[in-house]
Amino acid sequence: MGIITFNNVSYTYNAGTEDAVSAVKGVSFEINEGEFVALAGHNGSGKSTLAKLANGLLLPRKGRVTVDGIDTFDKKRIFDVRRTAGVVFQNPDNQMVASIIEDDVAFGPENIGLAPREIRARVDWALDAVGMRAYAKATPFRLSGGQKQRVAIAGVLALKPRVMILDESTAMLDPIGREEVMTVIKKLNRDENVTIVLITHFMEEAAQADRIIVLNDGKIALSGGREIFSRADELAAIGLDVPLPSRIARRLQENGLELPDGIVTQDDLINALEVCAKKCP
Amino acid sequence: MPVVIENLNFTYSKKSAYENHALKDINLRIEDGEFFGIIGHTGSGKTTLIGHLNALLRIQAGSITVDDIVITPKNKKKLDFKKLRATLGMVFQYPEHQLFDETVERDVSYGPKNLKLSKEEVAARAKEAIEMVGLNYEEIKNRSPFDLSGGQKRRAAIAGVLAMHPKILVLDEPTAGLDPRGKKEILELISSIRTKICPTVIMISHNMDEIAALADRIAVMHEGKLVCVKKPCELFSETRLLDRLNIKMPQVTEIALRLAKAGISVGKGIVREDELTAAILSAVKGGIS
Repeated sequence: MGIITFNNVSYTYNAGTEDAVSAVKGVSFEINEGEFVALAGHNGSGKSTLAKLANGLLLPRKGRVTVDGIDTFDKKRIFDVRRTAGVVFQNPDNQMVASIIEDDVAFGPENIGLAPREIRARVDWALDAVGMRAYAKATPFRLSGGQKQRVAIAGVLALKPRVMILDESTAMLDPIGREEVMTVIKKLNRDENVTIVLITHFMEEAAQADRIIVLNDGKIALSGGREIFSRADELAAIGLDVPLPSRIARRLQENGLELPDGIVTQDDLINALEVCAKKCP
Repeated sequence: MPVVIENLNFTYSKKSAYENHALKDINLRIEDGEFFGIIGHTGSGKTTLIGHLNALLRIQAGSITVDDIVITPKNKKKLDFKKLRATLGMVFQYPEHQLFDETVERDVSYGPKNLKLSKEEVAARAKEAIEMVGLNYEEIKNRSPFDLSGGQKRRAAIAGVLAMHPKILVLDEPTAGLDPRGKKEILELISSIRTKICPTVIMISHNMDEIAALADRIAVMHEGKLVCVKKPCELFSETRLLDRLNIKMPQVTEIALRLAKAGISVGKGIVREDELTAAILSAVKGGIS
């Protein structure tokens, strides 16, 4: 069984009132331990609702969600659910609790009753991982949005969750900061076997995942590996983009260059063009 | 009249433990009709710089001329703020956080009302601005701005600035946090604002692909200093400078450089997708003929 499973899950905000909004509609999928999955979709497609359902912050109106085999409806074990699956949210300002950065990162480990030495080690490790160690003694309130978000990520990391759900956590970072966070995420996935669920509308980020689930109107519209980016028209129709190298490759193909399908990354494009250039004497 | 900044210096929390010299001797001239980009890391001084243009931050040293309004430390108390803020419209980061009124129409009318315009003029301006940003006036005027979608909220907030009929529009990361469709809509809106209302646009962006494709010139800020002002094609050809400042180049430029290294010569100064496509076609197909 996957570490996270969604079985025919639906969720409606303000159910039963005239403001009812059906955000997730009968979604089923499974995420296996150690996987790196991207959930992509335009604003309002239901991505963030899925994130909240995945660690029991919201409970399904219909269907079942399990985390490491535990049903999120199981009130007695909800803290096990949240220790297994940590969420980093969109806005770091809502996630800061302490007035000193290292205290903020230590908040989670303290709450689960770790030994002081272990807390110290985890805080240092987590701050290193997000490149914020130099700010350990500073106050989070004077940081930029991007720096704050890295501290928030460190706060979740310090709990060493088996699954880390990032709900558009890179949306407020600058390109370098975003790249740093992506590097950290991939490293955690590769070296520590942390399962990653990356919620994003940056398709270049989604392309780095093992598997991409594309949401539209509360349902799964597309799902699969990088090959889904060859379906540019379908993605455009639901308000998403394909990565830039895919776009360029497509236009080159339209102009008569013989390039293989499935170009997603810069490496793909450059390799393909090298082959193409050699063919033409 | 252009925007001219001379010897601008600014320090946050002067004489305290948090003293931070955020702007250091900035000299800059932005011409009429220019699309002027500002890039730099978080904390480099971009937002502090534009905060001076409509006197939200009180000038400490140097001078700024916006249209025919001069801002100096000496006249900062006598400044005609209303005129300044009607001349230079400011769209902050996440402008939708500033929506406050009960209906979209009232929210958009707030600025022009404060200019003491006639009721009719205020109403006409609100309608025009709401339509300008691509929202349906009749459908939306009586709705709460808080019930709109993220992209719609942002456009409603921009409408509030446009209703002031600014001559210069300043935008601080206008596409941050939007999905690809929302981004495209906002960028198209900015282009149409330039042709219809306000040709001079100053825009801060972290998205190098976006700014490289749009801006006539780009200013690079670093640790409170203005490092340089260059055309996108020149700026992004300077790999050493970009490396030193740890600024990522547009993806398009990166691909062009990597292709050149791989022996497919596509030429220098490529910053737009259409340029890259054309250059690859001519480099590869050129080999055929």
